[in-house]
Amino acid sequence: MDVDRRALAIACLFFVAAGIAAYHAHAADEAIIEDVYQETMFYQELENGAVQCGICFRECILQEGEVGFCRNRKNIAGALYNVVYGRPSAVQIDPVEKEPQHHFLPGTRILCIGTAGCNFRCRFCHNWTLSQRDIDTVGRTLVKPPEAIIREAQDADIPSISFTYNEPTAFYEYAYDTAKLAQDAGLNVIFHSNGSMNPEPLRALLQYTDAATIDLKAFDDSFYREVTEGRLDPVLRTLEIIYEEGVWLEIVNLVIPTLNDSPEDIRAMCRWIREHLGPEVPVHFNRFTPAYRLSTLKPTPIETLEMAYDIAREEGLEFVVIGNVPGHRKNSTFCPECDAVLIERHHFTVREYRIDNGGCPDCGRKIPGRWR
Amino acid sequence: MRSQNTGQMALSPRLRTLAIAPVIGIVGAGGIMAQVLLVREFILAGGGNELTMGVVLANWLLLEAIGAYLGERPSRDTTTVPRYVRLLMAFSILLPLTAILAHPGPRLLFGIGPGESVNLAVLALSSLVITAPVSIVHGATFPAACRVLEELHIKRAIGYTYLYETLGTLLGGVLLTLAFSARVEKMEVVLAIALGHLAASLLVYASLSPRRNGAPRKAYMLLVGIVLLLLFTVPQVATAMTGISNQLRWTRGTVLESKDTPYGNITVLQHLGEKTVYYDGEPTLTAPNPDTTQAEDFAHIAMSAHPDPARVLLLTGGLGGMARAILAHPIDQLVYVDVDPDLPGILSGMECTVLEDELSDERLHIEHQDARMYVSREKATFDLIIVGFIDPTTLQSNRLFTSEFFASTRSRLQQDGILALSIDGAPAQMHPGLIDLNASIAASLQQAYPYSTIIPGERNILLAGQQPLGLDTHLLTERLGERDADPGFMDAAYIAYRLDDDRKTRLEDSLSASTAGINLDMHPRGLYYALAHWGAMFSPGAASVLQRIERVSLRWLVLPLLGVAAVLALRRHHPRTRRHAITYAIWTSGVAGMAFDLLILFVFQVLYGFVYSMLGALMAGFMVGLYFGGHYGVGVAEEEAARRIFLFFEVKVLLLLPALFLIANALGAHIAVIPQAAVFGILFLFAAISGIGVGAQFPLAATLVSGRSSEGVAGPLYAADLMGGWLGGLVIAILTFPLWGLLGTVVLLIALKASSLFGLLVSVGEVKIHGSGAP
Repeated sequence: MDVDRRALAIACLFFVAAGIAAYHAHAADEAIIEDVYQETMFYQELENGAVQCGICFRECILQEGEVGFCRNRKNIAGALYNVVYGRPSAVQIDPVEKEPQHHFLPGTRILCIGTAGCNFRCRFCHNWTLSQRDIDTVGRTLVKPPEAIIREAQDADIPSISFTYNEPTAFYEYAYDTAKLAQDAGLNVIFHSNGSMNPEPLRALLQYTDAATIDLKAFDDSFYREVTEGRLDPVLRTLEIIYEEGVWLEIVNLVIPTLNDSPEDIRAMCRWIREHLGPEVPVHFNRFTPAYRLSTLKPTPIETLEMAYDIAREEGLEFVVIGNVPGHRKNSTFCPECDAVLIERHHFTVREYRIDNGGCPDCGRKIPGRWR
Repeated sequence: MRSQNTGQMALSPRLRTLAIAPVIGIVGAGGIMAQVLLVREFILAGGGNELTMGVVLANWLLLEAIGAYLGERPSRDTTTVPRYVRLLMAFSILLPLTAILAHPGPRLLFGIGPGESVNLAVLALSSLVITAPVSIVHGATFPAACRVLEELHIKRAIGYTYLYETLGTLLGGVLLTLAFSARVEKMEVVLAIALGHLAASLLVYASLSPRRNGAPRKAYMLLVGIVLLLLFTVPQVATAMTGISNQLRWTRGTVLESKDTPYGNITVLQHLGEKTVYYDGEPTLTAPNPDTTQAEDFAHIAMSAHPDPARVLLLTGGLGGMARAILAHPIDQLVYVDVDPDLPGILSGMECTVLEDELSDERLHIEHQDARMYVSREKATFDLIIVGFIDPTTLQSNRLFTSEFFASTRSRLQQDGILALSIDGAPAQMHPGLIDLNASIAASLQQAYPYSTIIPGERNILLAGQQPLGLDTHLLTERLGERDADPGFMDAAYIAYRLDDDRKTRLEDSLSASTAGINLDMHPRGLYYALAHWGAMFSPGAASVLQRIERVSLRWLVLPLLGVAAVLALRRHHPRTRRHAITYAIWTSGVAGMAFDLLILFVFQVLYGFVYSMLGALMAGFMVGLYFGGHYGVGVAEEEAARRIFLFFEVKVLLLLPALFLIANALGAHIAVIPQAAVFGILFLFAAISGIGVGAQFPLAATLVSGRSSEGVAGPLYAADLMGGWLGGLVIAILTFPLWGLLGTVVLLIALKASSLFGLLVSVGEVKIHGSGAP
């Protein structure tokens, strides 16, 4: 057989093998669709079998077989599916202070759920083993439909469920269905998000949400683009919507030395919070510690955190906390009126709880939040 | 003697040879010294991982091969001398620039921001790019020197060039080791090398160029002037070079101090009101407010796991919080062991209350020794041995996570004593690479101790003992309270959270599902899994590739080698096959040569943990062998003798491979009783013996293949040698040693050399070989 015919035979064999593999892959997808995948709630069908996701600001346009930036939404036969529905990678009980939520049932525990994937690429993510992976490479996953999550919380006598560890936007449908069931069961719902959800799905989820912790990573869009591959504007929009909907809101700013610690930006951020939200929204300035790809950057100087704290108070924010510095006095909650200690905290442990009837025990000032 | 062309006096051939020989030696010395210095800089860029050594050395060899190939091209000048002079001058200019860029280079080239880690792929690529100019130039000097010698009518020019260069390499290695011992600044050494090459270039120009109008006298005067000028300014220029390099590396903050010790690099960086100490590029401590949360968590849990600890041993990575937490308990003594005597001195000047409390406590006793050696050789026993915050990300640190080390701690512990260590975990769930790492360490611990437990967290805590551990929240809380240890945030609720059974069960289930193997000294699987974990941060694909490679059996790599031998056998009557077989043998000897070099360095690092200061000396040992082997090989002029001796050395290299394995294991088993000097001597001697075989083969191959001229031969042969070294360096450093250990690596190399030996036997046979390969 001469070279040309031999090459042609090999090429034919290759294409046949590829076709068989593609058929089986498609068949496998279809089998999984029936069992696990959940059609997503917010998307548009486009021409030629393409779809456009509507969950977050990216609004990925996906051709057949493609997966979105978050790694969790896949176009299968012209429909968009969430591939992590009911497949959490982490289900754990944590103190609510770890969320962090300081004004929502302090001292109680929360059942935390995370899956895989994220629509950001933060170089300092502490949960990168979940957020920067897809469901197939994350390692162990569980099978827990929403009802199972509710049962687990009830069995452990946990009053609240939290969607955290990785970005809830990436597993929106799972979070939504679970939140709905949780509310029916009398459980509280919290989520911790990067704030990138689009308004429509956000408002839909907020109907079943009691509290939200939103990361405001910087007040500089270039930081968002360069260090997280995100955007600032969607986050600001999210904050306004949450506040408007009356869901309890707390904001976290992880202060990363040399990257987002400029006093001017911090002041501008605090001013925006006061003017667009309200001075009663708690703001956490958390200390950065080396993690993930930022493993050789030093931790945040305490001086920087205290500077941020002072700026926030100068700008009129009433509840400002320094986090990730166990033993720091400003980890506790103080009355904005008389400066009395309301909740003495050491790391995630509540040492003393003094809120009396939703207010300061010393001067009577009403303290916003959900108290036990 | 008068030149007919110019009518001017010319140097006699003997004097010209005497001039060129030391120049070639200087090139050899400069090469090895440059390699070692640049390796250290790139290791620093990569966070101290010694596997970078193999990558950087391999890249250097690849680039030298390219330089040798390019240097083979005919010169436009009537002689090769002008080209040789230009190459030497170029090296003297390029080396200082390369030295400045080596450490900050990976970040600059790839736009890596401050604080971001540099992965191995970036290191590999950037070392290739940054060292390319200087190493290509260095490689091109070899064929140029061969031509120069031929123009001087020196017979067997290739062999003699190899010989002189190897001799220079040997001297360079020894000089460098002495320089490190004398704490000479690295940039001063770089400048000395550059000056040497500059002087060499002028010497060649003055001695060998055709004379015109008194040029040699002027050249000599210029030489003396330049050398004197630069000699007097070396310290200042070196300081400026270090400053520029540091400024390029540390873009946010001010470098207060940067010091190279025999064990690593210590840099102190100031930003706003805080100072951070970096050890080999990794942040170790921030003052005045170190982050002590994890250190306190670990220390208090470990201490309260023991009913009544009196004497505690803390091994490395423990100042700045952990020691203070331990000393908060009512113990009698805390012995802290850290190999680098410079570190506590630098830390004590940091104005940090935590450090001051630790260093001023009378119960603290600091030992400046390698932690592993201390445990092996000391007779004292302790209630607790705590391994500070390190991870098995380097060969040096992996030694504190192996089954052999854990076994050695048993004799240092009281009957109810506890060994405590920690390793990277995850807040929510660990990915497969991290699970394998934890599983490997846990399994290694279980081999040494009957009772062990693991406590999940951001750092998983592993505890082990000869008696049941019996941890529970109530017990630990009670002990902390009784001891008045002031554990801060660690109240009963926190401890209950840390000891949560569900989390522990989930972690144990993950670990039991892993197929990770035991971590051993000469089979550092912990390092492999740590590399996979590190790689997973940058490329999930790369991490999963590493996991799949782990499942590949060694035999699948041996099969292709048999295939090569089979091809050579089948084509043995083809005119070019004989040259190909010899070139293949040189290539495999290049691999083996690099393997001997690296494996000896790795073995030394595993045994002692401070290979950097001995890097030059150990490489020089191999060069000793290369020199004597080369000298012997050059002296064999007759082709039939060359063929027989070539085959003899092929067999010798093959037999030395299992010998290396046996020697390494014997040394490891008796390291506690064998003096360090004796171990060094044994490894040095072995390196020399292995170098003989590799060194002799090159000139013998040249004799077999080249006939009368080195043209078209020197370059390809040298390139084959260097390419073999390149591949060997990469594969052994990144893959075979961490993955298959010393034994697996040796087996693979035996298969490689066996394939080349077989190819030689069937193709070289009784037939004489000349230039084009005609029978």
